[in-house]
Amino acid sequence: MIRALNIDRIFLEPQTLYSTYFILMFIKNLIFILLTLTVESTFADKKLSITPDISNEGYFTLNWKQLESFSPPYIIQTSKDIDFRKVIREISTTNPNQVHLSGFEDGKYYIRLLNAQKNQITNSVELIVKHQNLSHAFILFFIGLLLFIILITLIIRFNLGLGRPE
Amino acid sequence: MNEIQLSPSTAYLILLFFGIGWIAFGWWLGKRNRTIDDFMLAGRNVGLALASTTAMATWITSNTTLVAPQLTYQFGIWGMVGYSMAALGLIFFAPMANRIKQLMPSGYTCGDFIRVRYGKLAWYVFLFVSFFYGLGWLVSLGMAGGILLQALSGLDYHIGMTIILFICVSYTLLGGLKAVIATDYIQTLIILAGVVFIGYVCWQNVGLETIYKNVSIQQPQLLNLLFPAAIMFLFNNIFFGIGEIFHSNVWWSRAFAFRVGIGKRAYLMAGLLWLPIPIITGFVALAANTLGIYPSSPDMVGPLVAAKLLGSVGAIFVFMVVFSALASSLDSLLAATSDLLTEDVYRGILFPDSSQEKLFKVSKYILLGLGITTWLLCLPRLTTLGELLNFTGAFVASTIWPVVFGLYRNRLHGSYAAIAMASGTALGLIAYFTVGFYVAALVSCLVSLIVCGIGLWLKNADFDWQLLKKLEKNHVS
Repeated sequence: MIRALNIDRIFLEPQTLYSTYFILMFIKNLIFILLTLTVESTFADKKLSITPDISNEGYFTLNWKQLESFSPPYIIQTSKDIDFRKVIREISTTNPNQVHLSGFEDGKYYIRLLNAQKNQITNSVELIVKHQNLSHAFILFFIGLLLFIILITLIIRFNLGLGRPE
Repeated sequence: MNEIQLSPSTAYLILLFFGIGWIAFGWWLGKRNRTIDDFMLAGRNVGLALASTTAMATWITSNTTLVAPQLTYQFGIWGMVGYSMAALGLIFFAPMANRIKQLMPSGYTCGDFIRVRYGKLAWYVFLFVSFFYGLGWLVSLGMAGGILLQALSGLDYHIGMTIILFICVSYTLLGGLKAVIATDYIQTLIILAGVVFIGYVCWQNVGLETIYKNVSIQQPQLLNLLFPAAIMFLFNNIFFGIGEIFHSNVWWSRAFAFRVGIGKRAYLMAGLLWLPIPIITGFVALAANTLGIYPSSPDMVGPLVAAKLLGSVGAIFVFMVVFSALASSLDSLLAATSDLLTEDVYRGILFPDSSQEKLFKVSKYILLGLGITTWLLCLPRLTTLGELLNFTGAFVASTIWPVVFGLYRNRLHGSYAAIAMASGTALGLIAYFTVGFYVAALVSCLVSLIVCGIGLWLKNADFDWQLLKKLEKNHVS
């Protein structure tokens, strides 16, 4: 009882709590880094690449190579977590080495390729979607609208005024 | 590639059938071509039905059948609507076609107009813009041929591109503008029937509700009306389309070729009929992910969806529609660009005293050379169709205001027209590389208007319209 109380006391002390949390986080990150490195080295020769890696339009092209040992279909998984805890999009493709995807909203995404048995066969890539500034888009929109109105007005006026002195 | 629906042997058979058909038709139509007017301008006597269909068929091209779905796949609703607004180019050109015919009853090319109206400096700038655009469009069409065959039948890109270029160059060479216009008429019927049928099948088989639901989950940004890049794209595409038509000899040569008074009605009718076509072809692209189609290149999305929807028999149908769309534009562009090279470069710059007979022969060699150049440029598949086309947007949008002011006002001086085109193009290209392809035409158009406005304010050229009627050298500049 005393020991238990002591332990509670020790663990409930803010300083101890912080340091324990810190240690646990450090261990978790270390494991994660080691796992990532292992995964990356495992798939180092099965490169998945993305163009562009920062998209201002929400579309991009995924390209993969050296997958001779795995035949299509491939499964493309997209997640917002680097460890793919929650997959937000999963598609199947028979394309041999490339796919063009579109319609992504702002955010950071991670993408990887799996074989038909859902085993990861490439590294994962990071995609950042940052759409153009909306206010800039509206400025250009209204410039376009203004030019358009000027053009229509001039063409109508010029045609109606044909034969009259300029 | 997703699913190949046609066997290569079927694709070869279709190409053989169309190839022999079009080339024989071109040869038959070309038998009565005696003069340069017959070859370049179909005798200047084209009636309303042929005039409307040739304008429409030429504007339905790889842009409409391949790039409109691509832009819808990338920009969603705005991509589709924005693309259909390219019809405004045809509609606005309608009154200008009559004005062109009235001002230059014996004109041959748009280069003639710029040379006489604005003088040599503006003419050189305009020729540069026009050739760059013409070549860009030709290459995009050649590439589209290769992409089409690859997407539908798995044939190598280079083989498909070579065959399509060969067929189009052959019948244009044999029949001139007559062959172009006559084949356009038949191609329009095939395209219209095909596009409407594919759109209907997509609507019936997949359903609007399913498409909406899937796109909102898988590609939510495509349904966002506040999609910034797509908003930027909207007016950019409108001015790109207007610039393409206002400056290009494809449309000017038709204005010269149509019977007096026909141009306005023909272009207006063609524009109104063209307007819904990109909506249909674009809508089809929205069904791609629902059907499990994820294209390797965005410009393949249209044919892939259509082929998937219609199956292997339908793929033959799709193949014929897209092939017709490509051929109807490729032949027109080959004819119009070779006219520009013959009239403006060969006669205008190199050999001013050439006889009509000599020009008749030279125009055929030029057409052949143009076909070979296009083939060489298509060999390395450098970029996507959408990007290639929009690169030329910076060039063509700079010509809108010089053409409009030049046709209707005698005040704008040639030096300002030249500066407007050069500076518009330069700044448009800077915008292309710094912001994106979807702003190049808009920036170019804005800069060109500002320069033209300054020119109109500072100087009065007081151009004599009679010079255009006589096609004399411009003595004003």
